[in-house]
Amino acid sequence: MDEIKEQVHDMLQEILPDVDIDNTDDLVGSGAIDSMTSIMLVSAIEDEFEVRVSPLEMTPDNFASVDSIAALIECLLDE
Amino acid sequence: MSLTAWKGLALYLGAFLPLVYIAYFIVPKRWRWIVLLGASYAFFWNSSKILVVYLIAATLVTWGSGLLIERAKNSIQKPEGRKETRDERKQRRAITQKRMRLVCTIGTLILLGILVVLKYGSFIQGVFIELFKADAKLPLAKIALPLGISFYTMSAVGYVIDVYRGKYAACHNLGTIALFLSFFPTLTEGPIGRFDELAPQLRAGEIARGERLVYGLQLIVWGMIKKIVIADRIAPLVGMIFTDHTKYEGVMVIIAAALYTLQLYADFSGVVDIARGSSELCGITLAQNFRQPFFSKSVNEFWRRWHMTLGGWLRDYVFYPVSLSGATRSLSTWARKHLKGNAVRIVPTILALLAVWSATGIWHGADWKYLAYGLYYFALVMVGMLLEPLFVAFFERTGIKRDGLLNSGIAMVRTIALVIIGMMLFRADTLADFVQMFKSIFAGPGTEPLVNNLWLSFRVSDADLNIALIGGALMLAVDIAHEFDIALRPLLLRHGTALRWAVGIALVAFMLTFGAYGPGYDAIPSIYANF
Repeated sequence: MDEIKEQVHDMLQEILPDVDIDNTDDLVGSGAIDSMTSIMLVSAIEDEFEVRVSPLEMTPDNFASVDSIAALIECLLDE
Repeated sequence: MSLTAWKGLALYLGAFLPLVYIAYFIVPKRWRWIVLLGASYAFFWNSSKILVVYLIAATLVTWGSGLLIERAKNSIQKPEGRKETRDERKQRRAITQKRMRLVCTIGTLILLGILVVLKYGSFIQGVFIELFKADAKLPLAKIALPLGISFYTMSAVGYVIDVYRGKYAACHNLGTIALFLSFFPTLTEGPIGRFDELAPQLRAGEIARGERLVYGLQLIVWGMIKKIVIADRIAPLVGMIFTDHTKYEGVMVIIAAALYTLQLYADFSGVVDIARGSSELCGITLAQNFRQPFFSKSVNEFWRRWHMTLGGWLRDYVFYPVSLSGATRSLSTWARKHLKGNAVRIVPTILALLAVWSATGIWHGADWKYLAYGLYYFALVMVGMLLEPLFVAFFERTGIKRDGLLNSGIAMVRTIALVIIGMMLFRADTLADFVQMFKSIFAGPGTEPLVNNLWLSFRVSDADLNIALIGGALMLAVDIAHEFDIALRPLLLRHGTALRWAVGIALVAFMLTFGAYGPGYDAIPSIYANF
């Protein structure tokens, strides 16, 4: 899980270079991640982890933080 | 507002709504939803008569699709007496998923098909005639639209897709689906409802008392002020300039476009406030549809604050599915391998953005200008994305804070200007008219009507303008308070009943005194009711 979190953190840093990922509590609520950046992130996640994200999983809760994104990936890997 | 339109509004507020509330209050809690269903169908019948068959058809398709998706999901049972293997589970899911997708697709196509035929049939027919230079009379004349078809169809399609995605279980109760689609406050101009948020409230049978009742009434009064004091007063001037647009240029065209923007905001948000207030009386909270849109610093942000339920619907049911489609995934993988920098971000989103903005445009109506309206925002968003690295470099080099007061102010003014141009396109009778109007802005100053005080020739007196501007200032003040998270009603509550009553009576008096209704005022139907 820690390894997944680290990879997610790196992805976010690449997609959102101007955002302080470590000090942003809610990436969606703060506006750092919107519908377009979420798609970029999903694309990166799917390439990196070879999983498939469905529209049902595109929720603010799932993309709110590094932890929640990592948890989503963990869930998809278990399917 | 014409006598007919005023009678309609007076009938709604003076008779229909009080009767619904009284019946809702009297009837036992578990049957209150039937009062709402009866009232909704009565409301629909009053407006659309026999066209109620389309609403009934949409209801049956929606309800049936949900049940069939559920049946498809459970169509293959797990093996009995032993644990299902991973491969068996995968295979079972693949087959049931395929069946569910088929039902969802058919249900969605039927619902959208009804909308497309009724709303776009004669337009599509016209395009074919134009393309093939046909001279024949084709069967589809301009068909009368059932009330709210654009709104309830989207709610219906959202429900079917949500059941398919497994967001919630299918609803077995036909009455609940019927009420969800026909709920009378939302029929005219939305907001577009989500089943899991609205249906439980519709069935709960809660009733507003005390503070919630007052809140509902306050919202209704506020909505009325926006509609009949602000929007309906500006409408004649806007109509005059847009109708005879070849006579005007320069600042007059800009004023007309800006006033139309104010008119549309006041009209649309006003009617939605009346809808939300009406719902609150029955203990139902509808989704918010506006969040101080003119404080936006980009057009992207504007569309997250304007007609929010439409934007949310398009995001969930168009943007995400297209973005996550095979074609977009392939494009995204290709972009990450072959492109650099900003292009990697932009290219994968082109298809989804094009789909969303095209849908935004044509949802509003069957005309090329509406498609152009949607594509206008697509172009703005794409340009914004392409220029993003330049903006980033500019702010880095100059040291100006991007979210500082100066830049935020500039960004807001820029966004308002872009929105006003879009509204000019939206209001113009045709695309060609918009092009002519846009060019005329630069043709000359166009200040003669202002200098010579020709407002009266527009059937707009100084008093009309002043009242509309005072109303607009009041609306702006309320929006400023909300933007800074100042909740006005609790604020009033804290300062005692006397002040609250005084403000309430003042607002009602303002509405009754300065509302544009009665003899001498022309018909101003609610703008978004046409969609």
